Amino acid sequence: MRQTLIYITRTCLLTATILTAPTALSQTKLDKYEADKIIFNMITNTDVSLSDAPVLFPEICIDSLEATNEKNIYKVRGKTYKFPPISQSFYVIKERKRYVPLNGEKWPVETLQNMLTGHIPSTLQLSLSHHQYGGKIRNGNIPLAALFQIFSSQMDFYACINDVTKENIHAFLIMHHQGMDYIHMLRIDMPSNGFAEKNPTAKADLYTNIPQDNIKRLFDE
Amino acid sequence: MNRLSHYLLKPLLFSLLLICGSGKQAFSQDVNFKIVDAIVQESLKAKMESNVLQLLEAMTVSHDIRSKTIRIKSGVCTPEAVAELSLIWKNSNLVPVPSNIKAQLLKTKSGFQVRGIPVDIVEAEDSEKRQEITIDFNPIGTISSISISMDMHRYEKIMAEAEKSLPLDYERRQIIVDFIENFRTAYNRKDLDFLKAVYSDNALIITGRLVKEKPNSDGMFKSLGTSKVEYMRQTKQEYIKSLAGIFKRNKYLNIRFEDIEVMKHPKLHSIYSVTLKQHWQAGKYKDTGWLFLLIDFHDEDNPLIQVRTWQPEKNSQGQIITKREDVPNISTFLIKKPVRKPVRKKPAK
Repeated sequence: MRQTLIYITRTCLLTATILTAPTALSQTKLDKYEADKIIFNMITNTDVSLSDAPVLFPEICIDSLEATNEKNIYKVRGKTYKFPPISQSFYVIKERKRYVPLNGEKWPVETLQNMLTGHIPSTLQLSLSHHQYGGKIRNGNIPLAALFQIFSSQMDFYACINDVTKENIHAFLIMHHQGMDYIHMLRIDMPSNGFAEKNPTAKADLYTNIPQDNIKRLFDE
Repeated sequence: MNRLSHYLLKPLLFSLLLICGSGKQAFSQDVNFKIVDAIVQESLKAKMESNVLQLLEAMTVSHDIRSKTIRIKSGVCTPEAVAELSLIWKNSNLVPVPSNIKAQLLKTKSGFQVRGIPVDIVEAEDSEKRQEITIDFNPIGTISSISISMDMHRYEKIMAEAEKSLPLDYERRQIIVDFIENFRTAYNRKDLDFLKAVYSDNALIITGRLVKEKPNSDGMFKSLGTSKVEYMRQTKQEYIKSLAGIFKRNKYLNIRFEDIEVMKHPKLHSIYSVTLKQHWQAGKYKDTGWLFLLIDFHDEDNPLIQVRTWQPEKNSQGQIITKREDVPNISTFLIKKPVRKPVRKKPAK
């Protein structure tokens, strides 16, 4: 517990580098078992208020606007991770010559994408299952903002909305550490009316410390 | 004049009442609306149910009499909700679909909400005619907003992009890489319990090792240039036992993986293979070889290794004796479709 508290009070830069890097484990004497455990302690013990939650990439580049199926709503193309749908893209609405990131129950898919890429404050609460080393699953309730608080200074966030039905939205978030080339992956399932709720909640599964630097080919083709 | 208008208007009023009356009768027979699982006072729930029924009835009646505006009894909706509905009505009438609606009541930031009330949008194309509306209530049960539920059309473009360029099992393949990292860590941690759990009881385990002796007569030795590789088939129990010995004898183990390749079985969608180059260091002993794993991911949280093979990459002279293409692949093994026990339905009480 004391060790966890020490870690939490360090800067994000230091914690993210030390605690989440499998390829740096030999330097830090941490392996996946230890690193997974510490991440869980961090995310479940970080006290995040909405005002603390960082909002990333607040600037909107007009050149990267792309029309959607709906009038006045545009997609702002962002950086991608390996595949075009895994991206930092986000959605805006044109209101009196201004482009404002979409946020609200009327646009649940766009709102989730915007939230996962950090363009609007993360109000989402996650009912989280953290899949740790050894097939161990630890559960907890955390604000999505905690992940931004802990990882966003060291890792790039990419979101993908993978499936939408009238009842449910499935998305995933890739947090990528560019220097050490590993990811954390968060899978999210939320009701499509979730943002209408007073406290929007989603079911989430978190997989941490997945190395990418030793992959030659992830797909057959 | 008064008498004339009386005679002219009376039949007209009568026929209007007849239309409205018949509409109401038809409506009340065909559309039923109940809130279920509500954690609000019964009186509030009853008020919301009544308001929804009156709204749906107003839609039916206004459509039946071809009214260009929708008339809703005062107190059913807030002025804002009436304005919203009037805006929708300008484009098309909405006609409730005969149904027995049982809606869940959601608590929202500004009150309550019910969703999934089926309506027909009269002016829409046939394929888009049937939609659902969402109704919001303020805290005292008055309808505060009416909107057409999430239009799946809006998301076709997003979904099309994902379907076109993102492999369906992207997340699962990352989970496989996560599993492989756990697997590697288990050797480094000498975690025999984890390794026992991830090998199937019937796993096929083939291990090759460099030998100096001449091949014996039982065909277990295979000649490869000037070196000999002995291939042994082991049961899970034998493999785990030998691994326990290695763990006991070696204080320090360092296993690294590189060149990981993941493949999916073309027919059995839960079966994947992983081929990788393994660097093994146990004390002063070091080797590098090709590891092939055939894994059943039917249960994503508990994957099972069905096949494990290992072949050395180089001989003692440093010559390459196993190339990547010599390593088994997912087509090497004939896999029978796993027989899974059907889930038994509980008998009805």
